[in-house]
Amino acid sequence: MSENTLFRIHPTIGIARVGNSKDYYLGPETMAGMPSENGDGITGGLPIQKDTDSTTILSKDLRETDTGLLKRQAARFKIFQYDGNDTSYPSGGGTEVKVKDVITVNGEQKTVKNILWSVHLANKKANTWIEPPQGLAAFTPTAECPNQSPEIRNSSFGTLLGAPKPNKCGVPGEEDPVDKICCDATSVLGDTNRLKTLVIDAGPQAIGLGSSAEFTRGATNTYYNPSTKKIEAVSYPQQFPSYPAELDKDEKIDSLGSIETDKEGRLIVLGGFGKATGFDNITGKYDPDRILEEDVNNDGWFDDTADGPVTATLEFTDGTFAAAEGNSWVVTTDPSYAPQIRNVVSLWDDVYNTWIENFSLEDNIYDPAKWTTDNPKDKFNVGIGYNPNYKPDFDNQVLPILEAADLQRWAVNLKTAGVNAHDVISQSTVDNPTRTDLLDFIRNPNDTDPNNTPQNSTRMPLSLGDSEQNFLAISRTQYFFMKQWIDGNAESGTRTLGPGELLDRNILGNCLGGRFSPGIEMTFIVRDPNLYQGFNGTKGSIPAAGPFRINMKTMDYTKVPLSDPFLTVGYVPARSNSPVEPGDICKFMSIPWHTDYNSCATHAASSESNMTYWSWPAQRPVAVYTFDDLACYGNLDFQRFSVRGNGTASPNSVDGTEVLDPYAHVGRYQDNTPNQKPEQGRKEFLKDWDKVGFVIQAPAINEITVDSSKIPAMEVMKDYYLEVESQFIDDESNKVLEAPIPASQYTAPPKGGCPHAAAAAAKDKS
Amino acid sequence: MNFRKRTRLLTWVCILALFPIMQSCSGSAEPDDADDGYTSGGSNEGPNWNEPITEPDYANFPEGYSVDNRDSATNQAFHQISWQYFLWLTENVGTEAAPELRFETLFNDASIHPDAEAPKSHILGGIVQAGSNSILIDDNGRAVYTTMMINDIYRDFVQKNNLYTAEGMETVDPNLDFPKGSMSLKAAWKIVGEDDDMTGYYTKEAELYTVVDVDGQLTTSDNLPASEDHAKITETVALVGLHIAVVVKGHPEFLWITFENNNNAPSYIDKTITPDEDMTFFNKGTQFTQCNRSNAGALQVNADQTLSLIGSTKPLTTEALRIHEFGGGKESNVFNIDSINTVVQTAQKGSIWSNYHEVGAVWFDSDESMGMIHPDWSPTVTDTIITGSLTLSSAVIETFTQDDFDANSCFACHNTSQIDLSSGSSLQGSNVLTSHILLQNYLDEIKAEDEIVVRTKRNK
Repeated sequence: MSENTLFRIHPTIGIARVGNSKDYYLGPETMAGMPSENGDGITGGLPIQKDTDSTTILSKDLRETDTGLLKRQAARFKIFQYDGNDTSYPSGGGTEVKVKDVITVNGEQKTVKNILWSVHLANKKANTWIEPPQGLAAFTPTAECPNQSPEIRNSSFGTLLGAPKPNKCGVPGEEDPVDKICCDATSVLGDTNRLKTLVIDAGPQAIGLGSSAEFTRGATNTYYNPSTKKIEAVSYPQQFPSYPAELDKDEKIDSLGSIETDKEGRLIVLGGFGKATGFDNITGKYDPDRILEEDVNNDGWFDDTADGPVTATLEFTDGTFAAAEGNSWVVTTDPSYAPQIRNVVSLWDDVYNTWIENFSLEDNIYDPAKWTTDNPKDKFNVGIGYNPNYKPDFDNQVLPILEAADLQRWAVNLKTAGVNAHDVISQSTVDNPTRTDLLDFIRNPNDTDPNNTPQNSTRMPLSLGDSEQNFLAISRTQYFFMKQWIDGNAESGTRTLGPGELLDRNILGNCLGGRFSPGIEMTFIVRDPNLYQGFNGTKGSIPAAGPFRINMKTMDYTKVPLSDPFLTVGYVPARSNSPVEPGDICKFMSIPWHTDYNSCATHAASSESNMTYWSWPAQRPVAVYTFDDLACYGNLDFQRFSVRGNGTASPNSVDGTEVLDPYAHVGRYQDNTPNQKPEQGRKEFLKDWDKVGFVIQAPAINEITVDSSKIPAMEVMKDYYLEVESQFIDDESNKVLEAPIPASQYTAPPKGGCPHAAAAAAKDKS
Repeated sequence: MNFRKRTRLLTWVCILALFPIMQSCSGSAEPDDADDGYTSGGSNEGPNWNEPITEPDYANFPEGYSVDNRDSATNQAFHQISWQYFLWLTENVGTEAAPELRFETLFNDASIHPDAEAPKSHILGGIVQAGSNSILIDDNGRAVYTTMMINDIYRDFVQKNNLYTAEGMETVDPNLDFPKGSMSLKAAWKIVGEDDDMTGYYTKEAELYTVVDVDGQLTTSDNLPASEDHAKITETVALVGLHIAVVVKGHPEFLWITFENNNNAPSYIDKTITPDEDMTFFNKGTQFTQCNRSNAGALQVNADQTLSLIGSTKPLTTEALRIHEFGGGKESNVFNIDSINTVVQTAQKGSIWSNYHEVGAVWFDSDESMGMIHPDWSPTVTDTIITGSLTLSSAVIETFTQDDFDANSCFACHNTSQIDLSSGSSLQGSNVLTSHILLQNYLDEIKAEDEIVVRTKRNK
């Protein structure tokens, strides 16, 4: 029996999602697209019903029955016990610990009395840098500019009162301010007035079994004091946007969410309500008429997403306590409208790749000191460090990629040839890739000049890249696993992740990776090893808390100032010794998130090409098959745009003047037409974001009880992923065509026809 | 002086100095690639363009054409035989009163079936361009039509090997090559309007299937079910483009050639330069950003057979632009095409065919060390094997895919890749799949057997 029991919180990073209902369901704990684990035929990624361990939701659970309001998705955190001598990854071990469990701790039998959880939520989106097109490289120190960073948001804030403005070093010859780099912007972010006014900080809250707390304006803040081993109140300088007293409370951002425990003592974290409000970006005063000028970096805006650390201490009935090692982190963000459609490159794939290549995570996979061969002329080059003798576990390390590719069809308007190819590929097994030439069709992430190769425009994934790459490439680790498999060097069932480790992987596996521009949940900072515990500036190792943990700044709530801001500028990417504060993760995301979601349907890959490609289809569905159409027509002959409310039609001409590139703007509220000001289109989505439907596998759709002789038998459609619960009653967008498609393609009206049963029912209710 | 001006001047100097030019000027202008037709000491033979054009010697190619020191075909040789094919195929084999061009006497694509009715009938149809599902619409709002032809070598090969059946395609030896001389053609025809000045174009009276709307997608009436009216009309049409795909010795991948009328459309030069000359498919002053706008699924056909955007009866016009002049490729490729166009057009002065030009041609590198055609090959697998006009499109046959890397090379679509089907099964990759006549026929054959509609008719 171990004398060194460790407790860890899983998942290492939890994701909560906004909704405009107070009600909620739990986030999925299986990974999108992966085969059913319990024989019900429902693939992974489906959220979990409240108050259950793992019962997945049905489509009726996505909204409130009476009001149609969109339920929030909660993040659930659990404690796992480990043998402390085992710091390898994956350990394959770990056992969940719940309240009332009798467990052995360092050789002693103990009963868990309580689990004391602490969470601190903040949102620094308005006091941060703009999203840089260069990604992480924008922060990399240079000899001329050791504090290099992108420009900042709200750079005009407070300047009338003498607040400092950043010095723009700029890129020589670059006119676009987005590309400009600043030398001293970070210090400007530390201006006290900025920190006070532009940061939303709800402060810490701590709870135990049976209690709950709100991250709400005026709520009493609490924290777990490790000295007294008690949850104590603290007078904390909360910061929320200021509003006129008479403003309706529903219009105000007064909360970043709440926490509670379930009956087992697990932590449930809920996010905000999807609100966004404007302010004068010079004075900071509330501005109801504030426009949304940009897709990502809107000065003068707040939203109610947030992030922050999660820590826990176990209390035993014998009066002793044990703190969980390190911390987890919770991020609150956009809804997940296609939860079972896996991103080909998920957030997990990026995080895992960062750990493989920068930490001694799995030296049998990657060890640059041992595997030194690099062959850049080989079109299938995997680069230095990857062990040619490693045999990936097909089910764990290859299948998720294949499944993800196969599922894209339910969220994009991929041309038939592509869909058919995915049908064939999805029949692959560990010993039999159905197309041995598959690697020819996959973009190599080690390509030294991917933007200049026409072939790379035809390869997979057929979606857009980031960090100045036109197209998305799977991660180097993913590519290595694929190559080993294609070469006949894969096995099956050889890799076991413990239940906590599975949570880490699955939660992030359900999030967007690859294209961080900036993304949905987290962005390019996940490629920065300095973001994590265990990195010493040059090399990382697995800390006692286990891998994939955010490098939390230690916060001493016994020394909270009376009125000055508690939080600082916080984490700066690409810097060692730059620990992470609450609000430091979401600050890299779009402000507000709605505008980026609306915009990121399809875009041209580069200024040199007229062809448009998808941004984040698995996380931001572009084109969907609706259940209502299936019930009406009995087939899947056509798709509709997922975002299709009043104002989404992209016209060919306005008042006789041709609109250029109308197809570059389909499937979103318009931002380009001569008769519609961009801010109007973006603002419409602020009102309609909750109307977007969900893409759900047919067996989880309640409406199948709708009386329609045209609905196919479940045996036929058990693997259909159909849109349900959309509140866009009429399709007011455009006809969906097979893609990729040129931006200049003329648009046409959408398919009309059948009444939309579910949507009409929702309308009746409203 | 820029390269284009310099080479054009050189060409004209050569023409004035001595004829035939290709011999006299060899070696004097080497823009970049000495192995592509400008090797000193190499042979620059080829047809005498002032003489009646004989059938190209596909069986012994490149014998009699420009070869290098190793007797391998030069880039120039491919363009010589390209022009020779064009002139030979467009030769009047009818009478002066009732002209009939040689290519119009070939078989139609349906004649791969032994029992095809009227195997040499050429009623115009095929208005939807491959790849883009869009239609080139002329100034009068009318669709540009096409016809497809094959020669007897192609037809005999297909029938002998049973490739007109699904079973034949599924069991074909993947390495089976089309024999030398196999040829398929696609001609593009514009309907001549009352006010059109088609001087310089070959025109004729022709039968056309009418444009019809089938479930939101325009097509021609021959695609309606057999029980419906396959209505036809008669119009004067003008030949605006001609694709020639032919197997010559050592090139079973086919040599892919395209010709267009000189007055079809301008070529892209620079974003800032807008041609100020009206052309058949281009109105002066049109910004390049307004050109080649695809229209899949966005069109309706009006009672007068004009096409317009859905919801409008105002006829639409496609403004066409050639994105890659001469199909790009190496500088020597561009130079050679430009030069031979000038030479032949000069030699053919007075002939209607002097108003046409080779846009380009593309084939596999003659150096076998670069590889030969083989099953499961596509440019995505390896593109170094391709040479000539690497980004070749016809501005009137592939109008809308010219800047789509997925479709702007002939081989991007005409390759030997496995074809994945909606049922989750596949048609094995094979060399005969370079021909889309066979591929389309196969898909039509299995569609009759395959009742699976889900996932097949997507977003129509």
